[in-house]
Amino acid sequence: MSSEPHLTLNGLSKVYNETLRAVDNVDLAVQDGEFVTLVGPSGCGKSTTLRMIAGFVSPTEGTIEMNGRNISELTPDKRDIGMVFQSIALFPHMTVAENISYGMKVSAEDFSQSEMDERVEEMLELIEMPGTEDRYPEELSGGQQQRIGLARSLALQPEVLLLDEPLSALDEKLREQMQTELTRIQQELGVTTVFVTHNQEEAMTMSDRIVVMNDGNFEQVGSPGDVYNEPESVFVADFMGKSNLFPGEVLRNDSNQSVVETPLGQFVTADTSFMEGRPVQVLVRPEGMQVAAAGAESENTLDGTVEIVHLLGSITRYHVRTKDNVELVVEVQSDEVKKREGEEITVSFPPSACRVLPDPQPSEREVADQPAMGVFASE
Amino acid sequence: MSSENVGYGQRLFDGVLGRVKDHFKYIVVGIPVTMLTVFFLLPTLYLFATSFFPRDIGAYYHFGFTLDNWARLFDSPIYREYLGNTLELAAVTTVISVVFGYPIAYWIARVESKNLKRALLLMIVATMWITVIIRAYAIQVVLSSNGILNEFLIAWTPINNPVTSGTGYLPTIIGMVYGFLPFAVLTMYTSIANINPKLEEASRNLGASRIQTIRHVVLPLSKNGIAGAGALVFILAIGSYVVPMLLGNPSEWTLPVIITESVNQNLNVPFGAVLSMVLTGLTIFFFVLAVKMLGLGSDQLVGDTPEGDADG
Amino acid sequence: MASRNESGVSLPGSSLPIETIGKLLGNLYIILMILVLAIPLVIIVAVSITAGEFLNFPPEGFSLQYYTDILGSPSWLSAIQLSLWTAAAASVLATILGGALAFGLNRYEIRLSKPIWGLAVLPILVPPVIIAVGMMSFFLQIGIWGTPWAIVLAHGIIFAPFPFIMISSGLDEVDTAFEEAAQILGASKVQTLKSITIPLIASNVTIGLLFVFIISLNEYLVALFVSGPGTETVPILIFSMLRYSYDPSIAAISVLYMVLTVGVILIIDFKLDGQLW
Repeated sequence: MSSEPHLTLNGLSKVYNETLRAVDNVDLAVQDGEFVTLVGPSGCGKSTTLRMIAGFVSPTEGTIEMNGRNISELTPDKRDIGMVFQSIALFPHMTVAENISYGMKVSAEDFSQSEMDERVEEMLELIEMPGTEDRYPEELSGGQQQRIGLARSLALQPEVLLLDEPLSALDEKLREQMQTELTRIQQELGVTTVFVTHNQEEAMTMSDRIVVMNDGNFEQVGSPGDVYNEPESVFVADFMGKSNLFPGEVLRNDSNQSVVETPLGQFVTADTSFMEGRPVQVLVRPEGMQVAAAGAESENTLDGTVEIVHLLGSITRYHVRTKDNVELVVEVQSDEVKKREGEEITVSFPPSACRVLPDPQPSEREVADQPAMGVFASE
Repeated sequence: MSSENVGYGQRLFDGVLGRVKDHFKYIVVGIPVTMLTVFFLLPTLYLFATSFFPRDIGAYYHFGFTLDNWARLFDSPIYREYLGNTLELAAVTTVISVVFGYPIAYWIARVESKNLKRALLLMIVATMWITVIIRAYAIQVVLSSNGILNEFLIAWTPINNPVTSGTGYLPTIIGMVYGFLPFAVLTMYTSIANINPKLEEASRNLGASRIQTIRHVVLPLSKNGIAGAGALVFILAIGSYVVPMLLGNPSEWTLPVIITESVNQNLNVPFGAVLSMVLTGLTIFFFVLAVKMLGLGSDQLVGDTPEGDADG
Repeated sequence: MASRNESGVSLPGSSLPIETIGKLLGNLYIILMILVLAIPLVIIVAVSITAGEFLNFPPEGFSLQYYTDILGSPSWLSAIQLSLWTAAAASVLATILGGALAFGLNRYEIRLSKPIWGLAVLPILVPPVIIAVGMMSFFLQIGIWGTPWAIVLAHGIIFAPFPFIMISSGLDEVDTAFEEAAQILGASKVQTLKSITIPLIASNVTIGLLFVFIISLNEYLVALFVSGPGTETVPILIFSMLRYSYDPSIAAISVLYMVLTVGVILIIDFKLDGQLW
């Protein structure tokens, strides 16, 4: 595999009406065969970024390069990119075969009918829908249409494949199936892929690398593991997976631990990234939380009542409300702990389970007052 | 693959083609707009302008400015009469069309068989499109003094003299209603059809009779449709020419008929233009009134224009 | 005895006799109205096939003489021919103008789009008599008054709003995603237009065409004002004959016209497949 990135975004921006920065100066290098996902909440700019790569939106600043060549000025039909749309957009007046071979039909290269038929058959094999050549899109189910859309986009063996929230219209079971299908096909073909979704679970499952976007910016780029276990901001921590976040201020910072003063008490963390006096938020993932025996004397304990119990198979998730009216999310092995709703519970977490993040809006929070607003256990 | 080897001529051609492509949209929209403006907007505005031109003998008028034509409008009371006739005729037509049309619209909307519904609506649409002349002719055939109705009455009842004649107030009203009733029915039908039938069922379940249900549930919910139908018929009626001309005596003549008279018979285009402006003014006035009453936003009338996609 | 609603649940508070009478009256009214609407047309048909010189009741006999009269009369034949071809030409012109406008406004960002939209639908709002007089003066000035092309031009312009509205709504329904999908697959703008956009709005275009055809065929006032002696469409000829007599051949041509009109409407309805209702 060459070390030159296959697709790069350089200082890419899209500005509307001179003030709205939908995409704000982003950079990204995608390697050949990589599966990269842009994930973020609605309005964060992920679709706009994707559409700039496709050529439907022209960048205000910056360039896009493929194989070292600047493609920013090319119209979409000249970019050798495949795309699957959110609405799938199979041509309703054409059969499956005509849909899949459409790219070949309009191509400057002269493909013979037999070449097109062969390719259609290949594609249908790939998506495991052989024999559907003469069906019309309206006769197919949502999942089937989705797969045909994928086949259509891959028929010309494009350099890059773009997918714009392709699975959001599917129900959960189908969605999971399609995620597996997509991953399989992508790996089989080795096609460089950029995927857009607002669903962080989806991003985590399918990607080689994740780009977490917020408000036009790339907040963090990394592998799923990196982004989940080592988030660099409260936003990323909150968006990717469930989190318990405790705002406070660094009280003491020794060589191997730091103590953070929070409305709920002093927490000892193993993360020494921040100096004394800095306003921070302490992140503890639900699986980092442990259920302690009542009255146990360990660091970082919180007492509360179990509000909701979710049995998720081998894991059980508890929603706990502390005496200060703070919500916690705790995940433990089901066979280790059995608590019921309404029961008292003591929760603790080791310093190693903590990660300290900069507090984005410290001025809004009074450390001493309003503990209920200060902590959010996000869903 | 560098583009440096592309010849100068090629680049020039590409440049010109590119400019055409970029401005393609102006061509696509520009030509129709120009034609509409030149052949429709301008003639109409020019017509209005001629209302200020001095009139010469014969069919002529010359470029100039005078208020004589307008003065004539205000001097002769006869034109106020014609205006009054026009409005009155239109009002009567509107009321009759809406009142008679509503039950029809309701009935068709509540018919259960889809095919019957479609057939009925088709029939109504068909009568709408059959040229007004044929319809007027039909009415004359029926109502004229030696027409069918009178022949029938004379032959089969004690009545010995023709009861109606082919022209006059009654045939005119009948002709107008005949022409515009389908418009009213279709407008009100759309409105009624949009009311969820379950609402009526709920009303019946609560003990109301059908009449009460109609009065208290359907009627209020369809008042937009009724108002729309009324406005539509009224505006069409004040602009109608053929029926008042064919089926009406001069006392039934509407503004359009007078305008045509003025232009064709009297060869007085400037005065015809004056009357035209009055008619247009009335039309616009009632149109705006209707729009305001129905609370239609300009978005619903004009539709959305494409905007940049700012979503992420 | 209480009556029941659709689900068979008994409805309180409604007594059977009044309900039934009400329903009966309602149905009666509808039938009456339908008869009233239909009778004049039926009468025209009856007049057209009468054997006598005029319509008497009871009718004197049955004959197709007036139909053969028409087919043998040069003035009727030329009127029919003129009506048909001007209507066809006008419908093409109107569809091109209306379609181009619809396309331009829908697919491009144009600064004056709201006023242009207004201009596109304005002809429907202006009373026909005003359009007729205005165009007459104008056509006189530029010298095309009295020619058949004046009718084509006039109708093509003033009926353009219909295809405009039809094609606009058709384009609204064609998701831009289809065009984008075609482009990313390598189709140029022209190829996209040809293979994707136009096929998807084909039925709207056809309906717009037929619409204008029928309206132009039946239109009287504007045609009268912009045409001169010698260029008479069927409505004009009917009108001028009506002022002098109740000649049953008028009825015959009316029947032919009605059949044509209804035929086209049925085609339109078939294409719309009941969607409008």
